[in-house]
Amino acid sequence: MQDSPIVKTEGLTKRFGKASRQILAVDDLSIEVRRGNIFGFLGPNGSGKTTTIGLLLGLIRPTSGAIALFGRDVSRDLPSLLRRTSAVLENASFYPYLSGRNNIEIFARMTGGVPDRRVDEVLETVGLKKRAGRKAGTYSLGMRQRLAIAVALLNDPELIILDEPTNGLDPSGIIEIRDLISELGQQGKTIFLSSHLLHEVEQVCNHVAILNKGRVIARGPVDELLHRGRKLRMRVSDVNAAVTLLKDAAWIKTIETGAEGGVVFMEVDEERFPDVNEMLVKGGIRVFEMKTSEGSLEDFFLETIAEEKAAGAGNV
Amino acid sequence: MFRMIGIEMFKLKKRRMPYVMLLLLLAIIVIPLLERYLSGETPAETLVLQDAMTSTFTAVPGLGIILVAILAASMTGAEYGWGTLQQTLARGTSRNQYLTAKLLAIAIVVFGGVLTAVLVGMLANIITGTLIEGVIDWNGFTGYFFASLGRTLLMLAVYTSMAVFFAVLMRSYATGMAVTVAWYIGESITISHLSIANSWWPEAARYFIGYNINNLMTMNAADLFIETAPWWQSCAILLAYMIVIITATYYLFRRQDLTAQE
Repeated sequence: MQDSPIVKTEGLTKRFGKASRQILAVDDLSIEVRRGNIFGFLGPNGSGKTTTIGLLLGLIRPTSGAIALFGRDVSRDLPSLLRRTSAVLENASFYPYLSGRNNIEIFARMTGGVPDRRVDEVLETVGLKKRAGRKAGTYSLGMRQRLAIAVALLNDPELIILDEPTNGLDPSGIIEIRDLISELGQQGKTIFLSSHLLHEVEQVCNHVAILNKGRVIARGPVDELLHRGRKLRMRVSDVNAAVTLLKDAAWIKTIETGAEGGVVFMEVDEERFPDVNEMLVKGGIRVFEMKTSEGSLEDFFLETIAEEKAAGAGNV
Repeated sequence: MFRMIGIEMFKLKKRRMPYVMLLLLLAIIVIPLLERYLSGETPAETLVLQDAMTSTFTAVPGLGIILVAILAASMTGAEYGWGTLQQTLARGTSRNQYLTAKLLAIAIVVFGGVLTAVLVGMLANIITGTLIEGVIDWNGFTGYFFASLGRTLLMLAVYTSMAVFFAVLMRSYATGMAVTVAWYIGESITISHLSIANSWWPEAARYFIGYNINNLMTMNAADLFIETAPWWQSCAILLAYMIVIITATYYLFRRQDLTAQE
């Protein structure tokens, strides 16, 4: 059960516009989200995240490729698959002339089988109960976002798709939503979280895919990606001499000096750490400190995007 | 499906627009009768209800076409602008189900509105026409009433479906409404030009929506009726237009890409 993919796309491609002026929004996207995962879908603005979500929800028709939800092809019976799913779309939208409560009631009726008390429960969960009587058109972006999350929680979805769920929220609201996502993950829900906020994704997700210009450029468990970004940090007596000495070693992937004096960072496999130390000592450079520094998803993301750009420039 | 229609009715019930429209329609019907009554004009001793109702049955489709264009375009197009269409479809409502519920809800509201308007018109006629010892002549009324009601509903149904089509095509309430009203006015002008043109142009004009609407509308004004085409032909042409427009709307709606917010 743990291994069955809840979301699976294969060669998913979406082009907008007519042949002469086509925009490639999603390019040959193949991803898998397993049951119980909190899957981060990262990418800069305009990278194709929202289009991908639109494709998953059947709001946008793919140009080519296949989408399966819960192991079933969405082109066969999308409505029944979507009834097992909830989505918070970007720019949460509601009937502006109806109250927050009326809006939730409409979506509850649409879903079917939602008891009346559930409306109060979800309003309570997102902290909107006191303001539920106000017209949704008067809500701030943050309040609309909360209302959208309330709607998403109405039924008991197996899969929750969140597109930038913390947009417009204040810091405490962001923390609340982050906690809520973690809580839902602990309940065994599968969560597909699209965001450009790296810190958010790093804190709540266990798997991630990074999207750039419609293509996945990196994917994997967050721990693994962070491990990839892990660097060896050394404090030495002569930084320039250390860099000169080590830069030709083929097994050192990158080497750079740190902002603080006397510190050098390098990307190197863990089993080579003693070799680095040995080289420096033999070269007459004294080593005062040697430790690994954890990479962040932000570092990894920026490096991956930069590599992608460099590769793109190289191909021109 | 019933649940979706119920939701559509709930959404509409909470808006001011349909109430304002109905009031406007009723005002157009009742005010001339009140004016005539208050002017001191002595009503005839016998109120021939069929004759009295012709003004109602010409006023309702006349103004009604504009009103249903606004209502139908608003009910359909506004959901693109608000982004609620995407929200609804993302919750597992199929596009066919959504559009069918929308069309049926609009049909119910239009039917209810027309029925209310003609019943109020009838009541107002009876009251103002019989206040001074008048009696009502019901002769031929029932047949005229139902035939006119049917014709009125058909006329409005064509423009309702057209407004829904343009709102879906343009993904906008305002544009959908404007194009439908522009079509209505533009077609009237075109027909009047074609009718006096040479060659086969006058014959072509007979297949326009506006031409057949005018034909049915003159049938509603029974005393003025000059048959320009058989009633069944006008009905068949309008029904054919309606079927084509609704089919095109489904085709278009099923294929539309709905990005974040239109």
